[in-house]
Amino acid sequence: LIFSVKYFYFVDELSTGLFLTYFMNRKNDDHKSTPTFFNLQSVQTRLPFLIFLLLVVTIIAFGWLSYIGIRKSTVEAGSLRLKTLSTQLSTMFAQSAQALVQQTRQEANKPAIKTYLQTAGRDSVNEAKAILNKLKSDTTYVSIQLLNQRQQIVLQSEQPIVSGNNFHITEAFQENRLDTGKVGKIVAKDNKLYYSIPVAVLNGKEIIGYLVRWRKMQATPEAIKRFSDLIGEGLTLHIGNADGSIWSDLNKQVDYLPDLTQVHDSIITYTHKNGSSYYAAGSSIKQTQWALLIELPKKNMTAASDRFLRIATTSGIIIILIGIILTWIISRNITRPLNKLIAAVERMKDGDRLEKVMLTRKDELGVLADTFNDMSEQVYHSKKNLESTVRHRTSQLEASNKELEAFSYSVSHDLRAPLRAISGYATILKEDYEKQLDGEANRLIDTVVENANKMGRLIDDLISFARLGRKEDSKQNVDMKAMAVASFHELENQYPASSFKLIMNDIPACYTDENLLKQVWLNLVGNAMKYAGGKPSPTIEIGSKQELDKIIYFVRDNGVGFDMKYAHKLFGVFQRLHNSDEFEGTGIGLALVKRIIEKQGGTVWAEGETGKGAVFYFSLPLNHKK
Amino acid sequence: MIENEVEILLVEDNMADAELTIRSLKKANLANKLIHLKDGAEALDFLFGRGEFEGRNTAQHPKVILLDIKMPRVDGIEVLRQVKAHELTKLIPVVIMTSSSEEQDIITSYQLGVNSYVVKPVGFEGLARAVSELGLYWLLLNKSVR
Repeated sequence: LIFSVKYFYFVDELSTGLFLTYFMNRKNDDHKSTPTFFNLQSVQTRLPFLIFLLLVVTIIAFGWLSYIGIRKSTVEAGSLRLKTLSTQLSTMFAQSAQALVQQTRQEANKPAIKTYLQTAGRDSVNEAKAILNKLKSDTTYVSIQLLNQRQQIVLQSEQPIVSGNNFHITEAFQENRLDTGKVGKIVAKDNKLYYSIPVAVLNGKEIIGYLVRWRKMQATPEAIKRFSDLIGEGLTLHIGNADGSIWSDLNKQVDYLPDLTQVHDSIITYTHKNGSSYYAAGSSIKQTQWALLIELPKKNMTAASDRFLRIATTSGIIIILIGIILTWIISRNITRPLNKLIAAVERMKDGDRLEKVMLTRKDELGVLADTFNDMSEQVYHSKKNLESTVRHRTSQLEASNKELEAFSYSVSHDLRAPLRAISGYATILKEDYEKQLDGEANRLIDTVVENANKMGRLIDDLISFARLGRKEDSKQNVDMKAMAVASFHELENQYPASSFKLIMNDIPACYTDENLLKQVWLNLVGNAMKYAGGKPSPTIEIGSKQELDKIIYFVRDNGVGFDMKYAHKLFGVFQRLHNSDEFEGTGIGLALVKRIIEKQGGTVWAEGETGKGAVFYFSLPLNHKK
Repeated sequence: MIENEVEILLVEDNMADAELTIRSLKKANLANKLIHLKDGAEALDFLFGRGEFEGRNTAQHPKVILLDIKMPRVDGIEVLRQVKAHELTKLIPVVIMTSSSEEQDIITSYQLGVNSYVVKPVGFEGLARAVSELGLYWLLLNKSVR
């Protein structure tokens, strides 16, 4: 049993592997595949199917081997029985034959017979006749003959049933050689069988004649029945001539046997002319010219093994059925809780409810269900916690966002008011008292106004930078070329002293936020103008480069440039690479550009060389719809 | 304190801003008939003849209202809402003058029917220019229409 269980697991693993490979493609195509005839993907059906295969193979193999063994031994036992019987019967017949011969010899050696033969039929005629007639009184004898030396019939019993001329001793022996002391061959006359018992009549050592008794071969039905009972059911005895010329069933000649010219002392098999097969044992009978044959129908011989086969088949089918039902129940016992678990896991995956699987068992599946329940509870609670945490955090975020908004509102409103006052009153001071104040005082007032104004700009820039973060995207197709050119012309007026040369390459449109991109172009073009403005022939080039998944735009100027050492500082808030005396600015412009571009999913970077100029690049992703 | 004829009603809580505004209007000779109130509550009382201004002839409308947004008690947006909601006052032009360039404020103001929205520049010159242009525009233009 252990072996078979192990074997079964091996088969299962093996087949699982095979089935997995087989179903791999299907699994990808269709997760919940439609059930096939056996639906072998399910343990529910695979297990009984494998058990079925295993039982069928085992039962057929063992059943067949046992059947072969049993049949062999029954045939052997049957053959032995046939052989023993044939030997015993042949001995019995030989003894009977000898008794007959001796009895006949006593009669043959009576003085009247001798005298009759020695005198060539002149003396003791009546006495001899009387002996022959007396022998004939046994009705099974059909004729009693007295032969001379030359085997010619000289005297015959009276009233022979069959004409005496029909019987001649030469028929009873092979090659007409009279062998006295042996029962002669069986001869057939008019559908009846006869045999002879010849003995020599001796005078001293000299043969002076022969006494031959012809007897009819017959057995009463009662005798045959008794005989059958003796040798056993199903067995049939045939007696025939040793040369195979005649076979009888003890009463009459039979013609259904095949040609059996010589009966060996071994088991033979043959088929009757009507088609049924037989096992048979033959034996020659001593003291006669006969042989006997005991035959047994093949089906009788193999009856026991056939019965075994029937029983084995029936019980095998029953075992297989029971096996399938048992494994079906067992696998159902496993797959039902598994299906429950699967359903619970599916529900858990899709829903928010607390999923439990109720299994009251102590085995691995029970443990699995318990563990699942624990896990489900944990997941449920952590989900709940997560949700409330997210809600809590979101509301916190919203609150702080509100605060930030309020803060930036205050900054924009409240900080600007005092600045306006400073600037305003300083201006009034200058307007109303310009004449009373000397030059230095006027310069100081100008400085106050200038710085107040500068701080105002700073505040404006800071606030617009801060606002970017909470602005909603509103994307559309933007004509980048038109926008860059427009930015250039808008800014040109701020530098009336310089005449800029614009090299405008063809640049593609982009799907992005129009207002924000305008800010980008204003800042980058403005930056370029600011730093190139002082050069003798200020030139600004705008272009683009298309890559696999993005477009790179650039603005190149031939201005003062910058040292690449400080490139990383360019895009920080309030980071400046130049003194504000040289170049105006709040230090927010490029930070704003970086923030806008990164919000659109792109990147910004710059290349420059001190005194030669700078290139500012920004990329925008292409994976937007056009 | 009853003004019979008011041309400009300035509502501004910041005294410095108020003074700068008045000075600019004066320079343009527009501040003769100007009244300055310090918050929205006072402005509403004035317009609808309540509280301090009980008994004022409310049929006498200012030609234009210059309104700050961020004020104590009642803010500029609320004043604008009530002015534009009332039959008596809805035809008075209202100009919002504020430091705030908050988009939401601008949108709300225009939804409520503001006639103009001006972000006060920090620089006095800018402010002066804006104020005088505004004053001139509304006073002169509306006068000729009437």
